[in-house]
Amino acid sequence: MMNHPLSTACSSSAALFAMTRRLRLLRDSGRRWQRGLLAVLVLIVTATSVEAAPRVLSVEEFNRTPKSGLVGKELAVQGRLALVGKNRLKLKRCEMNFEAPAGLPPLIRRSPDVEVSGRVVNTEGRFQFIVSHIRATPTDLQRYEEKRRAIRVETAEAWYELAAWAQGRGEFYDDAALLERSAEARRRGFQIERRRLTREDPATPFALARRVEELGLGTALQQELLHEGYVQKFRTLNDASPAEYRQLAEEIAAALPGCREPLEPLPEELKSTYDTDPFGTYTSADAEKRRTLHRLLWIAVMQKAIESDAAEDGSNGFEIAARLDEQLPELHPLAETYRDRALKLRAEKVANLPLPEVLALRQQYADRDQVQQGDAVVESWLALRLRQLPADDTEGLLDLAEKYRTLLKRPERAARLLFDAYQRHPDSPIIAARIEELGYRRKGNRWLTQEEFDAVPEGRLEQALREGRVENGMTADQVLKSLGKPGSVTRFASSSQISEIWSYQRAGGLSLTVYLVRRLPQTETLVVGIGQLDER
Amino acid sequence: MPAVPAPAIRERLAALAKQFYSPLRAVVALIVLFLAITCGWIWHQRALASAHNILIETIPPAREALDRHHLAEAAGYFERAAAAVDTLGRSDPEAQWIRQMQRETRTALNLAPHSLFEMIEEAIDMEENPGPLEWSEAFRFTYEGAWVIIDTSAVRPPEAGASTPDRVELPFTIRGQPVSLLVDLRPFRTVLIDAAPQRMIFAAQLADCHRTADPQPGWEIVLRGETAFLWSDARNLAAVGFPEDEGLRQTLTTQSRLLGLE
Repeated sequence: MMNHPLSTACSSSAALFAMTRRLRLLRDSGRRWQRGLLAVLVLIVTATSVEAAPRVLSVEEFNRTPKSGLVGKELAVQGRLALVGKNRLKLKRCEMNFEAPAGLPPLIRRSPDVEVSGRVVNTEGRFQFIVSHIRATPTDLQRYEEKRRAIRVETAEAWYELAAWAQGRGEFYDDAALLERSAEARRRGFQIERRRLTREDPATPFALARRVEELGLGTALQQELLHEGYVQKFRTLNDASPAEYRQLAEEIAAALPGCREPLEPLPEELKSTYDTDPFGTYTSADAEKRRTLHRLLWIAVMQKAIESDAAEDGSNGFEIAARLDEQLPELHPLAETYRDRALKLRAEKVANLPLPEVLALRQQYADRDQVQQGDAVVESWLALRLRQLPADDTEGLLDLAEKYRTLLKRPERAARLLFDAYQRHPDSPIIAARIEELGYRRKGNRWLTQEEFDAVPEGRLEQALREGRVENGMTADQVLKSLGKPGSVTRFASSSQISEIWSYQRAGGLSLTVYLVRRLPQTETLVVGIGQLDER
Repeated sequence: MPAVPAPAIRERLAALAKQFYSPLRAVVALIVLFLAITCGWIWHQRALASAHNILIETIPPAREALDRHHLAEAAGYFERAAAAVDTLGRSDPEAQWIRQMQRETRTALNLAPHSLFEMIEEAIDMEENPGPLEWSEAFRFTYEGAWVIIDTSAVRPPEAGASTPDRVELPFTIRGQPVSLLVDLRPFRTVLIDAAPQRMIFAAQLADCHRTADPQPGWEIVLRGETAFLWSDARNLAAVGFPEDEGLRQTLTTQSRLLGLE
């Protein structure tokens, strides 16, 4: 009858323990020769027991090993119980049956992982494993934890080794939990490896990304590293050539998905967060958001590539704007600023442009819904022409007035120019006719709009003049016409103005005083007040 | 012990002189005195020569500046020229003219910042809308000491002994309130020949502007009589904006003659 497997397993260690105890007793008694003899015996027993320990194979190893080579040898197989009968058992993923003619202990039935010791025998060409004894072993997950705890000095290699073990077991048994542990161990190992490398080197993230691929740590981590690498690379490209920026953009587009998918609209808030903290934003983003971030990075690089071609004075603003609109439609507002600058530059050079180009420039403004700016260009051009006009060039003045009227639809400005021309040539019927064409009517020496003319059939001052009165705003000449020469005039000079008091004696001791002021450099002295004094 | 009488000062000085006097010292003192007088004389001659040169250098460009109505430039030249004629101790008509021009150009550059109308308006505004600043303070800050050139008609002031200064009634009202200009015309007694109103052009500094109840509620503008002086040059007036006319030229010619500038 077979010994109990557990007692069998412990027999050699019990003998070893008994001899060790005996040795201690002899040492205490002082019999040296006996002590030496016993030591020799301990060594012999130990050597015998080590030699007797069977070779332990995993089921995977056992499956791979040719059975003919194992026949007759004492060995142990460690694995997971699949089926347990009265006298036999089956391990998971193992073809061979394990026969226990003496029967199996009941405890075994509750142990998922066991180590079965015995011999492979060949019975009529069929291999069988005859179990000599069996014991329960920790599960793979428990063993994983033991191995994990056993890692005293955290090195990447130690974690990778653990990960490889767990992965082998996990894959063999299709054990998701163990595979998860394997991935965890690899991540730990990778983190240690990542910490070891300097982050300042732009090549580091790329090297780590390759490692992630080798370790199979997933595309998310790989993209995170690639993103980090490209951001660092972009940052180091200070004042690089447009070609270098374009090359980088190509690399990014090839490595990170979503770069060529325009964003509609540009997520301003996300962009702001990303600009502030690109790595943190990326790490916390989900896969969908990461695609957006890839695009934002690509936009930044391409923007740099395009803007590097921009002339400092903004002269090629239209070309830059067109490229921005074509390749980075999200940056349309930026493209518009380039167009604005280019237009402004052209507008600044308006003095040297011929009229057709000025009108073309205005049309460009109009096309951009900037009608006022376009008109300002034309007005600047006209103003410059006006400034260059010789004082006696009435023909030129008429021509400019016509341009103000037709190009700018500014009849009042045209009228002002014509008034100037009329002052120079009051007898010119052509100038008068042109002013009248603009809807002005002449009243005395003044030109009035039709409305003014109609509203004031007889001007306030004219009426006062006719009635022999004085009104504020009258000129000194009009006062003279209205009231005649004053009895006395007093003048005061103060800074930048001359004040006058004209005094008229009236019947009954009353005196009428008219106050006039001429503010320099004006030439006209105007009435600013009228008073009545009783001089009695 | 009887008191010893103190020696008289003259005796003490004589004793002191006797103590320091020696023929050699007397000769040295005379030489030093001679040298000092000589140096002073040379310095004085140089100052006179320099003043002559200044007059030669400044008068033509001053006239040109006046013709161009460049008051500030002209004032600069006349300041130097006036100092030069003072150094020379001249009082001939040309010297008087230079001093007069210096006064006129300086006055033209320091006229009141606003007209008298505006000044009264400002006073009434401050009275009607009291603020942290009273009108009297505002006046002191803005107007007191500023010059006004006045072209008006005046009559000969009362004979000597009259204590009240002559009042020039400004025949105008601001917001219904009469305004009087108070100026002592006694310095101009020589100009104002008879009791008939006579046109005169003069300048004076503003001294005060206050509300008055006598003879009727209104405002009184007081000019500093001691600063008042008659005007003489039409170009200076034109430069400040006065309209030129024949009457003004005649008045100025008369005033120039009375001032002894011709």
